[in-house]
Amino acid sequence: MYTKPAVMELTVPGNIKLVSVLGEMAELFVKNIVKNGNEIQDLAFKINLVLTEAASNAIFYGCKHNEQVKIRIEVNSNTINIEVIDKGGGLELSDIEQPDPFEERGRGLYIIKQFMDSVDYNQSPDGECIFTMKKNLTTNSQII
Amino acid sequence: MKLNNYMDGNTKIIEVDTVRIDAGNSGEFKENMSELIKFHDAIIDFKHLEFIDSSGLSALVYLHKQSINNKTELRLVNLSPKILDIIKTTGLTQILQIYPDTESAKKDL
Repeated sequence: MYTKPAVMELTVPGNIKLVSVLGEMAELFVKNIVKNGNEIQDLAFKINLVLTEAASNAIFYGCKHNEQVKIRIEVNSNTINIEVIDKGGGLELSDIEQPDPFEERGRGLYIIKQFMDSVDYNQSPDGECIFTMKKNLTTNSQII
Repeated sequence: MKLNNYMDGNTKIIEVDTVRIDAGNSGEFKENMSELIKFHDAIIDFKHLEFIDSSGLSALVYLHKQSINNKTELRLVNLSPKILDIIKTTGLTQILQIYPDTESAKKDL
């Protein structure tokens, strides 16, 4: 049965106090759209975490002049696709390794890479930085 | 963010009364906790905490290093399975002193 994708789009000010709301909204959205038994609790929590990390990066590095951040979460029958769009200066995703435990920075992208199935980053011609994360859903997943 | 605290012998017990530490409040958590643990062995009770991100983990690493420099003990208790999973994923179980509960953390202090 074909089910149309469920999409949530948000455009918010680049204020770091908003990352809690963004993460919690993403968790609630996924929890209420995807039905796959007990696994959904863990999956939705991780979506909260990775969106919090990506939105924090976008606000810290992509909103130096109070620009807005755009979030798009699309859930279809196979995957959860998340885009976080800012006006930032770029990211290097190629060689993200586990940071030294005593290091105080650099865990955000590492966490995202551990919990998501793919991560990508592109810059559009008009200067928007598009950070994309994808999570494949298990075969027992149903979308309402 | 409320950090309820009291002395138990020579050890400061601090209960973190928030469900979430992220980039929006991790700076406040780090600064306030840093003051509280400056002169004492301390046990931080996370029984209310449901969420922590990398900035919260960074604060824990900072506080851990501060306790080493000050030659005090810093122990973390009552971490939920979800938070322990994040701590394990990032390799921080190698350095952070994690105990199941306050009683076990108090034993050799």
